[in-house]
Amino acid sequence: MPKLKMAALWIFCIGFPLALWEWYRIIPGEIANQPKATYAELVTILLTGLTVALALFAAIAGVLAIWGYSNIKKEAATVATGAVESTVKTAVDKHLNDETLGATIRRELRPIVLEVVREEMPPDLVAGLYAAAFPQAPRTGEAPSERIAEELPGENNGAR
Amino acid sequence: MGLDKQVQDFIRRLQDKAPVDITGIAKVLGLKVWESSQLPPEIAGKLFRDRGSPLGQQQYNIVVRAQDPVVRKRFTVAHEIAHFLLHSGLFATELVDDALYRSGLSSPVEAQANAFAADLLMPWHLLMSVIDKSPSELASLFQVSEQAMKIRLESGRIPTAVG
Repeated sequence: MPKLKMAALWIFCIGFPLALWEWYRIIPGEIANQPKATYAELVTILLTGLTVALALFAAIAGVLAIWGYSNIKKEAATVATGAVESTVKTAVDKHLNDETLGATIRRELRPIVLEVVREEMPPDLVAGLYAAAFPQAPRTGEAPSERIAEELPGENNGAR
Repeated sequence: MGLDKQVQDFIRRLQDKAPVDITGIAKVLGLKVWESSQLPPEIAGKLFRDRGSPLGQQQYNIVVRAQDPVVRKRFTVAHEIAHFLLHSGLFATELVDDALYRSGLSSPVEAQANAFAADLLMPWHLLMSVIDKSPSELASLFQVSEQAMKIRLESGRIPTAVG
């Protein structure tokens, strides 16, 4: 398709001045009475057309070059980003799955997290944790554990 | 809802060795501690004021669930002592704490009771002298759960009335 377009452009650049010159030469009337163009003039016109065509071609080539550069730049950035992401992901996956490193991170992070908890955790929340820190007896087959006080009097008849 | 300095000092004198004699502290404060086998699992314990005799004074009582492990019963007693000392104006005659030590009072009030109970059972002045032991050993020494001891050690000091 671009070849066809280029051919059309060349045909237009050469054919149009030629047709113009032929029309100018053969039309009747006042124009016809004008002096006939010489071959030197024809060559001049053709060369001018060629110059215009070359200028147009150069302009198009320039535009294409700028467009191509910007596209190449964009493509290069995409490829580079993809490569970096892939490499980093592989490295992170490899190292984070490393148990030794994981243990090291946990060991290093634990005091930091505890320090943050100690400093930042609201006292109410810490106090609330105590409520869950004392396990209940299993619900089935429960028997009284070691006593710390006497049995409530009148327990068996429902009185307090 | 702060605690009088004299009461703080008085309690501190009672916390003279580990494990803290929590029922002894309750007794000294004028509270009777009872165990009940009929409390359902959903109830950890309760604090109530009895009717009293026509001539006598009304008496505060603490009831804990007999089936609960000793460490839990001790914490329940400490929690009810906290309500008795700090929140007696917030309930009429009875305060029942569920399994998670919620009694219908506001969360900050319950949190204060929990923190106070932790201070009663694991006072820092006793802990500091044996702080080099493991949490498990400390839990056994203070007769609290290991988890509670870890929270105590890791969360640092929570400022309350005692401890």
